[in-house]
Order: sequence, then C-alpha cells, then structure tokens
Amino acid sequence: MFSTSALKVHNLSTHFYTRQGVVKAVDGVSFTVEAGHALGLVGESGCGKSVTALSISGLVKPPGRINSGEVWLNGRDLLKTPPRELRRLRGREIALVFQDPLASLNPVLSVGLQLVETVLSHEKVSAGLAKKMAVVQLHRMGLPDPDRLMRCYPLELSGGMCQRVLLTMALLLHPKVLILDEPTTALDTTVQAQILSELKRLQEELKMAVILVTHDMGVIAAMADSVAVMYAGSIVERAPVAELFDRPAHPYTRALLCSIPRFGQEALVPIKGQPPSLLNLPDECAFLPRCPEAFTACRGKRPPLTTVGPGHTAACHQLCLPAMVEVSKR
Amino acid sequence: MLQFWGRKLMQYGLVLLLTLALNFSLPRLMPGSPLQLLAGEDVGLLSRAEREEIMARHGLDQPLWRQFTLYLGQLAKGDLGYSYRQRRPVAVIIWERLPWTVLLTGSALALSALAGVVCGTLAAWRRGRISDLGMLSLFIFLDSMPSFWLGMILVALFGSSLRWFPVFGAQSPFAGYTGWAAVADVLHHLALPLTTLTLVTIAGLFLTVRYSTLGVLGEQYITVARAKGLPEGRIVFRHVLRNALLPVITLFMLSLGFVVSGATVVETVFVWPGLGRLMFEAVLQRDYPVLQAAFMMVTVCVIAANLAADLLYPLADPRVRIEGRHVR
Repeated sequence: MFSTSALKVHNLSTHFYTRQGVVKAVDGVSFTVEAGHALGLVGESGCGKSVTALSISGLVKPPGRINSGEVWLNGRDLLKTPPRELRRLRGREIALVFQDPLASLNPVLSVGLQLVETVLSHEKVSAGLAKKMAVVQLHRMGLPDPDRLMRCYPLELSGGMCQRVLLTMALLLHPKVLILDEPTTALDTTVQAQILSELKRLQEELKMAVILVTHDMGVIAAMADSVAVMYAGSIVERAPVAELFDRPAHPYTRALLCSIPRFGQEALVPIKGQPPSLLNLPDECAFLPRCPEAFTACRGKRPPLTTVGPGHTAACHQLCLPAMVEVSKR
Repeated sequence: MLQFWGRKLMQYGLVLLLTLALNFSLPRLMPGSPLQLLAGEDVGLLSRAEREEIMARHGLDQPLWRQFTLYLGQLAKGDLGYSYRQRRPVAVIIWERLPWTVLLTGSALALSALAGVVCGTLAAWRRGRISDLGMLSLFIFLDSMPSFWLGMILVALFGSSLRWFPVFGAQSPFAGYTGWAAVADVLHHLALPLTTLTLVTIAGLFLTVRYSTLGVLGEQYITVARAKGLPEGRIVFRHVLRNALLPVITLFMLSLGFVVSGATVVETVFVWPGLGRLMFEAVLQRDYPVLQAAFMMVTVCVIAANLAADLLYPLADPRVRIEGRHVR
C-alpha cells in the first residue's frame, strides 16, 4: 500500500443512519493525490463531495459513520488511527478550509487567539513565537497590517479577509494535505480570483497535495491538475483537467460542462431532473433516470470504471460496449 | 465604550424615576383614605387631632408634586416610612430581614447556576445518550413540581421522620450559640430550604444551557476547531462554553435581581425570616408601608441587575462591543 502519493483514498464508504433509512452519502470512492498536485472533486450539491472531505479527516458526525475504506497518509491508514493520534494529525498534516468563512471563525474570540491556539495545540513553542508565526503567515497571505488584524474580531473583517485568515490558519503548520471545501463559493468573483491565484502559488511553494471540492468548473479550470466527477456518492469519471474539458467520457460530465455559461454559447443546457435521493439507491447506474444517452443495456447493473485514455477512467455502460453503442446510434 | 455606558446609565436612571413615581402613586390611587393605608384598620381608634398630626407628618396636606419631592428626599435619606403595625421604621424591619434572604436565595442561585451549567453542558455534549435523557427528564420533573409541595415533602422526610434537619426558622431559639457553633446552626437550618429552592430553580438554567450549547455545537466554527486538531477540553471550554454561556449571563443577572425579593413560598413553608415571608405577613396584616417599601426594593434591585447585565455584556461578547462602537 506504500506509494509516493501524498494521500491515497481507497474504497471509502460513509453512510448516514437516519430514521428513514441508510443514506449512502459516499459509496466506494477511491482516488490518489500526489504532492504538489491538486485534485478537483466536482458534482452537484448532495453528491457526497463534502462528506468525502470530512471523512478523510475523521470529522463525520453521527448519525454518519465511515463504514469501510482506507485513507493512507505517510504510510498509515487514518481510519485505523486512534482518535487521540488523529487529532494530532489534523491541523498539522491535514488542514481543512470550509465554505462559509464568517461561520468558520468563532465570533467571540480574536483572530490572533484563533491562529495562535492552532500552533500551540501542535507545537511546543512559546506563545510569543506562535504569535510571530501567525503574523508572518498572515503577511504571506497578502493581508495588510497583520499586527492590527491579530487583535480584530471576525465581525470586523470582510468575507474575503476571513477566508484569507482561515487559509492562513490552515497553512500555519505547513500541512502535507490541504482540503478546500468550496473555498470561494461565498466570495465575490474578483476576491475569488485573487484567493485562487494565491492558493496556487502557495501550493507549489509548499508542495502540498490539494483536494478542491467545488461545483464550479471555472474554479476547477484555474486550480486543479486532475478532476474526479462525483455523482450520487460515487466517482463516475476521473481525468487530467485538460482531458476532461476536451474529451468528457461520461454523459453526466458532458451535461455538467454544457450547463456552465461560456462566451459565444447561445443557451445554457440545464441537466434535466434532480439528483436521486441517496436513500435506497437501486443497484444500477445512478444517472440512468436523467441520462440523455441511456439505452436498454444500462438497466439492472452498475457500470464499472473503464479506462478510456491515459489517466482517464469513467463508469458508463456505453464505454464497455462500444460495438453496441455503434449499433444503437445507427 | 464610556459613551455606551453613559447612555445606558441615563436610560436606567429614567426607568428608575418612573418606577419610583409609580410606587409613589400606588397608595394614592388605592381606594380608601391615605390614613387607612398608613395606620391600617386602627384608624377608627384615632382622635381627630391625631389624624391631622399624622397627615401633617407625612406631608399629606401638601400639593402632590411637593409630596413627590418629599418622598424622594426621604428615600435619599434611607427613610422608607413607618410601620404602625410593628411600631418600628420600615427600613429597620427590612434591614433585619435582608441578610437572611440574600443568604438563602443567593446561595440557591449560585448552586443552581453551577449545577445547571455543568449538567447542561454535559447533557448537550452527550445528546441523546442515557445520561442526557436521564437529566432532561429529572429536571423537567423537578421544574413541574410546585416548590411548596417539594418543601413539604422534604420537611416530612428529613425533618419530621428522619429528624436530620430542623424544620423551621434560621436559628435554634434560645440556644445562644456563638462563633462557629452559630454558623453551623444557621447552615443546619439552611439545608432544607436551600435544597428546595435550588431544585426548583435549577431546571430553567439547565434547559437554557443545554439548548444554547446544542446550538453552538452545531456551528461550523466548532467543526473548524476540531479540524485544527484542538484538544477536546479546549474546544469545550474555549469555543463552546464561551459562546453557550452568553444567554446564561443574562438569565443569571436577571435572577440576581429577584434574590432580594426572596422566595415567598419557600420562606413561608420553612418559616425563614426573609423578605419574602415579610411580604407575605405584610399582606395578611395589611401593613401597607412595609409592602410599599418591599415592592420598591424589588423593583430597584431588578433594575440594578438589568443595568449590571447591560454594562457587563459587552465585556463578554465582542459583537455587542463592536456594534456599540459603530452605532454610537
């Protein structure tokens, strides 16, 4: 299981045990991220992207439970690591940044305290040194007047500044893996672009493996090296970023790409219907009810992940039966 | 910050003046002659000269605005009137009862706040488990129990049957204890009323703490604190409690205002010589000067507690502080 990749997720399944039944939020997800690379995790809301991010760092709350799988970091399986040791890894080896920056900061504690406590709970350094580390990192994140900022409360900052503070917090201890859950969704487009370019620079500088959870294909194009498309708790297509945009193999990916606005495009083509309820998913292709290209052979079984090019896999029955597709097209 | 406090002081000064005016007009609005209010039902026994003497002494022959300024002047000197029933100044009577009430209700409030915060946080932390459900049902059960009934049960069980604790009063009569023996005697008498009062007030605090802690536990910044790898203890004390206790501060300060008014029911059941029982006795004896003074004490204390809560809250919550700075 040892490999050069920074993070390797294998067959991860996280289910929520609700009164209505078992919700399979993440169902057999596997991927790897190399150091210095960014993997984009895309899909509609409720497809299991965020739960995947939380599962990796062991932050799934009841009634959710990680049922099976392996998450390998530095040659150890995080899912078999006792909670006490996992806590030491969180924040130091794996850092997380969430969607809503203002809700991510404790409103009654100063920015400085929230930065300093992160350092102090992992490193045996003096409070003075921790403070200095925070100020330096704030400065690197492009925040003006860090000394004054340390004394501010979250309420006094703008959304963009809050998100920069949170990124600072995540990067303070130079983690090997950085998980970003919709990091710029709540921000203005201009602020979004600034933050993304700074993130890209820091990622290369610190040689971090980044997992970028988003539903925004524009963010993917700007940040990611490769992309995993999720649908109803599973990965349906995986490809290097340029390959995915040029030659999407899965009908869902194609539909997703058609639904983003572009210059010169006449009309947006929305994906028909709603994502399926993750309760009692039938054991067949989950996209089947909405798929514009479905044919009779799609029924009754799940499509396996098939290789369609270098580093490019997709899970669609069309790809398994090229001859049949030809027949049906004729 | 000073401006904020100054504005609050002005507001509360105005409220205080209003309540004093109301308290001043209350006996004057009641049916019957003011003499009857002052001297009670003995008024028929007084001679005409005596009546006029009393009217003049209390300034009742003066115009209303003059009466009001006289009233304020008396209050400023600490003169709360004269009880013709007890034939003593009201201030002396109240001053005698005040320490007993503060001892009982103050310690009950402190105990129930402590227990409420500890149990409430614990219950929220272990939501849905046996310990949470157990505490929740216990405290709702206690909350729904009338205090006089709980008091009587305790008297019957620990006072009359087991004879562990005395069943009435605050001191053993004619015992003449001094020093530590006197303290121990008072504590021995305090046990049952204190238990009763604590048990009936704990539920409100418990439920508030539990509810607000549950709210905070669902906040994203708590997930962020976990994601940062903070130890559980630090998450609870610094991130959860710091936020969850904010509404409790207000609740606590407001209850503090009622410490002085005492707990009429519990004090009556245990014959505790506090202000609550004084008010009860004053009602029975129609001792209006005492009642009026007691009402005033209660309102003033409630206003003072509100003021304290308002002044202290910005120290606990930076959001109020920052908004105060911007709004002015």
